[in-house]
Amino acid sequence: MLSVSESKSVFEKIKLLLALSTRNLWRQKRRNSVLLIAIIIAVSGVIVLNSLIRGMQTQMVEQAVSGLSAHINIQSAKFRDDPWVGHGFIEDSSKLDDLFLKQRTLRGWTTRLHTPVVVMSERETRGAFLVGIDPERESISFINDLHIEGLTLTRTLDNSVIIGRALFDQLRTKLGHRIVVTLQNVQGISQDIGFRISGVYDADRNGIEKQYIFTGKRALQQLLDTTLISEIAIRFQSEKDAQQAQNFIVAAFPDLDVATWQQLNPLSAFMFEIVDVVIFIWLCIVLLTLVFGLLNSLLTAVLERKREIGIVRAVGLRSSMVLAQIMLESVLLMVLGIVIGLLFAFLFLFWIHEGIDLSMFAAGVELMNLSPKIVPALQLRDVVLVVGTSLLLAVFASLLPAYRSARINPIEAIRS
Amino acid sequence: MKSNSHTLIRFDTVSRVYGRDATLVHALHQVSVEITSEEFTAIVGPSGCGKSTMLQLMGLLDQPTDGQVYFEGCSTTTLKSRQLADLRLHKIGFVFQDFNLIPVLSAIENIEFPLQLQGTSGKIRRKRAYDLLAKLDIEDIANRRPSDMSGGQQQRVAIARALVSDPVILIADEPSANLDSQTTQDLCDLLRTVNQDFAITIAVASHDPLVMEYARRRIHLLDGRINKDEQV
Repeated sequence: MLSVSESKSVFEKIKLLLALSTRNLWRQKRRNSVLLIAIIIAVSGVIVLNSLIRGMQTQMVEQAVSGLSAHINIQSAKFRDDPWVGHGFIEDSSKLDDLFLKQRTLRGWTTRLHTPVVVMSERETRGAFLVGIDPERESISFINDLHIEGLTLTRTLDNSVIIGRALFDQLRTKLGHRIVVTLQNVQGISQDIGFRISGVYDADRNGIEKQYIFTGKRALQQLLDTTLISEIAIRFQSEKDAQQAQNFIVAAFPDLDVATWQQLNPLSAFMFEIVDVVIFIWLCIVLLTLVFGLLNSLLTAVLERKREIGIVRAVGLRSSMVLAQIMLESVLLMVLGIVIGLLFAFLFLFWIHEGIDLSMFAAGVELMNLSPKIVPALQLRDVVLVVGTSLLLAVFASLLPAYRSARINPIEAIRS
Repeated sequence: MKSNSHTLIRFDTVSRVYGRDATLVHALHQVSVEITSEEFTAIVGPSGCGKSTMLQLMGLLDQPTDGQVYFEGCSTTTLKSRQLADLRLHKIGFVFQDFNLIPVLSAIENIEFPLQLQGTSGKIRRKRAYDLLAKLDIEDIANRRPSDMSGGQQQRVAIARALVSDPVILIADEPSANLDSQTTQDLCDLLRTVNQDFAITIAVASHDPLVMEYARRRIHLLDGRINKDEQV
């Protein structure tokens, strides 16, 4: 352990190195300013882009789990291959209540009855899915948050339908008008059922609006004369909770097919998994480019200051301190760039905190299961990654110049 | 290994060779000499005779190719780079031909530099630096950077920096090379004061007859050998 006088001595030396480093940086104002701007742009650019990518990642997961699949979706294996109402299963409500009551991490669950239908208005015919829902349990899905023109479904016995705006436009019908859906009932016989359009919903994605028509689950069961359901959708508080509960749920429904949202949305799952790799590769490319700039600048500085380094070595500065001084210059410049870069990034992210509208790329964002508005998500681990990697690279970039400066022969340097 | 308490530096058949094969240069050849404490020695001779090499060996900036250099009775040949750096920091003051101040530091900071490396606290450091500025009559340029000083002022600051850590020897390599005659006269007076009042040994390499006049001992070098060693 250092004594008080030794600590003071070390402190004085650090003060000296700091003074020399900062003044040497200040001395090459133009060169270091250009480098500083490059660091600021790189750091702020990486942070902003990472936040947007994270926002997309979060949104992809949110879209997937707030969709009809939820975190975990239970269907019969036959229904997955052929979504016919006859491939459904009997709902045992008391078993489900008992089962899920013990799950503290559960956000909610619901049961639905699905069937593909042909829907006809007075003018047009289209293909879609008719989904019987229990409106009181749909707080786990996007259905609860839909903006609806007209009346929404409030009970499982509601026998009207709400229909997506895109399908509504395609059918060229009107609110309050009737549509007829043709489906195969549980006996495998085609059946026509008429529904009144009570509401038109607007969703983030056009695909949803074209695909799904919602009605009360119990009402649909009565119309089809069945008690079957097609699926159980279970939503947890978090992705981690869902992973932990997966085995328990598989064991509880041995005769049914238990699938996660990743299995049902493989593209979203792939994008989710690949984001971390993309962020790291992107970070490395940007910061490595920066390292070459820093390395070049430091090598030039060492060459220009060869004589000075010789003098301080002659006066008694140890080569280890010369090494430390060059490394300190690199780190100081990087720290300054990181601080200003982060500040710019935070300001920019604050400015776009409500999201960036990507509706002009609607087809592309929909393909990735995204809404047209990307809301940035700044994560502490990304900031730590950028700051940590930048500082490490600053030290790495200074190694060669620092080594060269420490090896300078004072006599040759003073003569030069 | 102590040899003589009054002998500060001793060269024992010291040779220094630069280059190899066709480019081989014998800068010093089998030189044996002693520098005693409180001497004012001038090393004189034509260009390329080995004056700077001899000073660099005395100042522990270089190591001999052959022979031994003793500093205060201890052989320096086996010392590591950091030990030599520490010896230079605590025992030796340097004044170079081109003043060689640190351009990013002010006069007072340049003077404080060796003390800061020694870990001396700010208050003591500043007081000693100001005392020296006062003694050398350059208090008014304390906060100026080297680029804002004249040659003579820079040389005085360089001397102050060399003296601030109370060295046992001040080594000056062509200190008057870039000065006019009046400034050289002032510098020589200053070196004499330093030698007499501060009791600091001075070894100076110079072509300048004025500098030679002030020295009490002159070592004449020719082709890397001592041609004449005279007390004045």
